Amino acid sequence: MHFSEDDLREALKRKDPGEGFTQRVIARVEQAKAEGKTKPANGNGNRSFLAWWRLRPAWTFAVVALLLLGFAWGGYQYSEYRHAEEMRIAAEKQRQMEEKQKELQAEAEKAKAQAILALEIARAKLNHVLQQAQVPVGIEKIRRQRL
Amino acid sequence: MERSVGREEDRLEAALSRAAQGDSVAFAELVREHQGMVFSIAYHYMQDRSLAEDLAQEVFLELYQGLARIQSAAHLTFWLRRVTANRCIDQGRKKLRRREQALEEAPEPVASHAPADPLLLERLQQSVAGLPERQRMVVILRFQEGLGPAEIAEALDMPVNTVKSTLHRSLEELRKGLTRKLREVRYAFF
Amino acid sequence: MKRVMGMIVGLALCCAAARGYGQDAKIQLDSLNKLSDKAARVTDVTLDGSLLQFAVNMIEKADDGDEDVAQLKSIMKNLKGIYVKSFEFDEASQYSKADVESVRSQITARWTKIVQSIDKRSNEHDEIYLLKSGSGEHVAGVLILVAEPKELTVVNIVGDVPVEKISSLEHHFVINDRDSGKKQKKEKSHDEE
Repeated sequence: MHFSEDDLREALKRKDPGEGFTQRVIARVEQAKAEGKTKPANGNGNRSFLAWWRLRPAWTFAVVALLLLGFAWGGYQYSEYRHAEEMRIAAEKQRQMEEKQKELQAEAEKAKAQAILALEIARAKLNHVLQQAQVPVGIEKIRRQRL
Repeated sequence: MERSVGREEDRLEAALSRAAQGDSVAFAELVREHQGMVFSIAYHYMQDRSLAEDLAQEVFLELYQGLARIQSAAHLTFWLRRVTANRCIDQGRKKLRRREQALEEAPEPVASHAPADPLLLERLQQSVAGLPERQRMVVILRFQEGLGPAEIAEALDMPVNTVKSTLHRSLEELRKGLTRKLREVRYAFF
Repeated sequence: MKRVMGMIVGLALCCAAARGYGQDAKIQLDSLNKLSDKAARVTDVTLDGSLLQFAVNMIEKADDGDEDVAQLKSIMKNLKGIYVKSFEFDEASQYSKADVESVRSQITARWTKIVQSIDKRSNEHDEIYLLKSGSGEHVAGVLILVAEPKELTVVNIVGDVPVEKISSLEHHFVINDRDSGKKQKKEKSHDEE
């Protein structure tokens, strides 16, 4: 059986619900209000939120693109920051090690100077005492003193 | 023409805004504007006037409860179609029946003007009511509301290609179904 | 069993004795610190443990070509501590006999006085003590005590001290540091007294 799409459109044409439909709806709303059933259903909020975005694909695309750009930029900035931070920490460690080395070096130099000074004084006083005691400075005399 | 459409949109936007603030007169205006669409979808789906009116009233009650979330007049139309379609499908699943009525029993809602071939049109209506749920709603949204496949896909949460194939299959079934019915009541059109 | 116990006790005593030798070698000189306030010039050197090791390491790095440096290395290598307290005063009698006794009282029987010089005219009293090692084969410590009217100097060196090498260090010197490449001044010494 052949029928045209126009026939189908005609068959499914909008029909008015009749006199008083609006009043019946208002009456039902008032009844629901009186019964305290006017809180919105839980699913509606999500449905209208998603529908808002579905109705505006250009907006959705723009927001998603911006978010992705933002994430990519943020990720790049973070990796740059991390790299710079690692470099800074490595440089800091290097600097601390070098400082420590310098400190140890200075300490060692000071100790060496003190050792030399002490031995200088020991030499001087040793020889002075030996001279005062008229003891010849030399290995044999020292050895003869019961070493 | 464009100016009157623009004015019409402004009027509906204003009514929506007032209704969201609790203006019941504005809400009644919105009901009047969309009752034909909502009722017709329900009626063509269920082929039962009282069921259709009940469902339509529930849809508008749900609208009243969620007015604050409606963004615009266009959004309102989309929302009403979607909610009505989903409620019809849910209702159909609960009842699990397809009513096939004899020609003389089929109620005749108020039509805006006389159909070209009332017999054919009634058979078409009944055939549509005999389609499986999703197919039925796809056909109604296509031929009653004039929605394109993309809009139908959005309203029913279906892929666009599925909508297209469903539409094609539905028309085939309607043709087959109509031929069977006509044979049953011994009407020949060819 | 008794024999074993006896051996253990004997070993412990030997260790204690060895440690005792080490302890005897170091003379406590902190009691002289109070003289710093009166002294015009103070030389205070305390080098042992890790600091002495630092000094030894630095000297080890120096150029062996210099005879004095080589001698210094051979002196330093077996030392365990070098302690010097030297006070020079502008006036006489700035320290007491008790100050000197605080040092002498620590000299045990193990120390040997090898040199003593007393000059009553100049009121000078100098002594050199040596502490023999347990085996008696080398020196475990040196103490030099110089007490003059305007000077009090105590030098205590702990370890295997090559006294003859210290005595024969004839030059003032500062090490020619191989690592830094700097050559520092080198001059002949004159007797300081």
